[in-house]
Amino acid sequence: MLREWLDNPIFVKHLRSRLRPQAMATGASIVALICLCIVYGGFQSRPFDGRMAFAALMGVQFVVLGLVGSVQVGAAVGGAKGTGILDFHRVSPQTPTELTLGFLFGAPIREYLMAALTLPFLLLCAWLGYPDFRGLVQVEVMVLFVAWTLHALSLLGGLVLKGGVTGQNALGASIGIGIFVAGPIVGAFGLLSRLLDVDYRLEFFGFSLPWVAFVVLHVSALLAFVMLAALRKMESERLHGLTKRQALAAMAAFSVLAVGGMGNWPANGGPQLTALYALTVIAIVLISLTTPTQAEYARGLRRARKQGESGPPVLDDAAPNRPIIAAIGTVLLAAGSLIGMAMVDDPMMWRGMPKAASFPHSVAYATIVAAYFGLGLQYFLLRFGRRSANFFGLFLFVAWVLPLILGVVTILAVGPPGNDPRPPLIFSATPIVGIAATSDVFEDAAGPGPALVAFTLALLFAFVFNTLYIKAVRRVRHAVDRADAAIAKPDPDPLDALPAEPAPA
Amino acid sequence: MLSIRDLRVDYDDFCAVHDLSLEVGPGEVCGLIGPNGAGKTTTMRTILGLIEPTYGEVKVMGSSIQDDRELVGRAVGFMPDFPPVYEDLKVWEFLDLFAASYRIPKSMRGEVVDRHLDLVGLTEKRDATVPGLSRGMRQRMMLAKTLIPDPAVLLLDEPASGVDPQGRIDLKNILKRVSAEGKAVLISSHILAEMNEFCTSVAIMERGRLVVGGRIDEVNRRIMGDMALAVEVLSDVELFRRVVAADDHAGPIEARADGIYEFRYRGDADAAAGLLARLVAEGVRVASFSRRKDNLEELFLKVGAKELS
Repeated sequence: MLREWLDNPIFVKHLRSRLRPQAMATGASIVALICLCIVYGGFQSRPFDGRMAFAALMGVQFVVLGLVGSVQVGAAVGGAKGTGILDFHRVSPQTPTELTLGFLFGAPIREYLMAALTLPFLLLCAWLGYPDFRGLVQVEVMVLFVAWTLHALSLLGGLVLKGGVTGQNALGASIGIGIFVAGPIVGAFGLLSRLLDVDYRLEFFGFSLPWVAFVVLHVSALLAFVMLAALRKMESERLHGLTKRQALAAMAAFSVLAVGGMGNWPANGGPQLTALYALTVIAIVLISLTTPTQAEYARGLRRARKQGESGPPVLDDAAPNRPIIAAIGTVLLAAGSLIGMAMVDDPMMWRGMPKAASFPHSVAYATIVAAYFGLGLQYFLLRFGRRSANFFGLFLFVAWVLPLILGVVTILAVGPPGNDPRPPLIFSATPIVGIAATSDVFEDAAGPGPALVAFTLALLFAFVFNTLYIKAVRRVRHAVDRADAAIAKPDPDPLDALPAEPAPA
Repeated sequence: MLSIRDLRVDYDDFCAVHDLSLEVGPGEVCGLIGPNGAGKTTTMRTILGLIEPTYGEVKVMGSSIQDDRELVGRAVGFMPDFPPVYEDLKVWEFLDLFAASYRIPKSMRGEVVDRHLDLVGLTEKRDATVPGLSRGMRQRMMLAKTLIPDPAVLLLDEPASGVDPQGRIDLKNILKRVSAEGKAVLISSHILAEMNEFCTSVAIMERGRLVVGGRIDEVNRRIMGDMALAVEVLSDVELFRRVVAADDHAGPIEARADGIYEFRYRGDADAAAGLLARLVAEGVRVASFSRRKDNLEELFLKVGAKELS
């Protein structure tokens, strides 16, 4: 089995191209020297500062494996897609799974080896006292899962993005990551190291799990659905990342995870509101993934009519997205309501936190926002075809970003939000703030106004886009009818007009 | 071997291939001809399953491309006009990659790679890196890659572009060989004179539609309504012209090369034999008298010009 896997052509291709001695030796030397510097730094304090050295070494390992590795995955698959050679792999007997795993583990092979170079130094830290072996394994497991998820996201990006990722981009990104991201990451591992001091545990539906198991559970769900999308895109560029059924399953899975973990934070509205935001973003992403373009819908219509049907089946990739919006919205509504049930108003909580009694308003508002986003996206795609990205982008800027800018300008003019009701009212026009605003977080500053503004605009957009959606669907149907009627007219046989007799001598 | 029925492919609001039906049998080399944008490449990429047809059916060796992608993957070899390659591999590594992709056992791969390098004349470039290859060499390498899985159906999109004269001769010989082995070949090219030499059938496309298709001689007869005769005359050209002009079946004479005259002839083989007999009897010194091979260029120009007008 392992022998067969190691004979994966894409994996072997990367073994050959990425492990050529000269390039490998250079990268390995740099990582080894950095690790030596870190350990040297640890030895400068007496006794050996294992906590600092451990955090820095983990930071290096994460930058190399997680960030540079994911850039390499994106560059490899994006380059293969950009040149067209990926199509040769697609039409070969290799399965999409083989191709995906080949890129996922082959492209960052040099980074795996360079990350492995940090292990002796990490073991040295453990031997010198910090962390213990259990803690080291916990952090390594977490880093590996997060790195795989980043790799999978990058692979999906390489398959989806038009330009792909070039080697030069990868180099630039690596330098950028090295300069701007490495510091915060080392800091993050410094915070993480505190988790290792105690056997920290988290509850999931009442079951007590080690913190790493809790994290891996959530990351695994993300990894699974990203891989599912990557497999589909690897199989064919024309497929949507997820089918409508898979998108619904993803929404349900993330909702279960969000609800299951809420028991850890019962007395404060912050985590509940964060979870609601996260679920809304997930719902919007899933709706976007399953929304057909004008060309896809027209193709689906023609195919269905050829088979004697009036249109594509509801759950077909080519079917308009309103049924899936309803399904995903229902799951969001249910999950949000369950999350809200875990919420208890804390008399000590600070001003501006969401109220338990108002949280259902936020849930309803988030559902309407996801719905009008989906209806709007479908309308723009059906109505404007290739230009839809421009128009929908403009709408999102005006409806979602502009209120933020205007709100900030108003604050600069009138002072902090507590002094004037106008900034909260303006901010509430965008769903980015509106979800919180409908939980009465601005009640003290502006009364019920922000919630009213948010709901009024969301309902207006939902109504308008639903109407436009219906018109756009009809328009495409008529356009297809007209185009097919024009094509169906029999052309004169060009051969009929050709002279059958030779020219006279 | 390859069967296309009622194939339609749409790009946004543009119909690239419209209700195309085409059959390519074993040993057949079918030339797919048409101006740029006629739908040739789209047709090939749809056969490969890379483009989703709006509707229609594509079968390779009796299996639908939607139902059995693995079999189709093994049975169809595709070579595009601009061959994409991995720039960070050596030539043998590139071919080994695809030999592995087509499940050729590891123990046999070295021999298979070397054999195909020899077939396309790249043995001396075995250890060269891909960036060091000229366009023609890349094309040869891609041809080797295409032939490695021994596909039953070959789709070649402008295979001779960028290839030097020796490479073209090699390509022609390879195509003749694979045709003799019973493989079906669908080839698109703008170099019609070359296609004339190895194509047995033709499919002329125009604006996504198949204008005319079938065996070349049949299509030629249908469109041209006659055959072309080439006669090499050693002397008495005026006498030759008079005798030919007197024959009701003959068209205007064109002097092609030194001493060779061509003209369309609507009569059958007996009538042509009669003409030859008359020429000899009149005293015209005829060195050769032959039916000229049907010319794809003339065929395309006649059909294409009508369609484009």
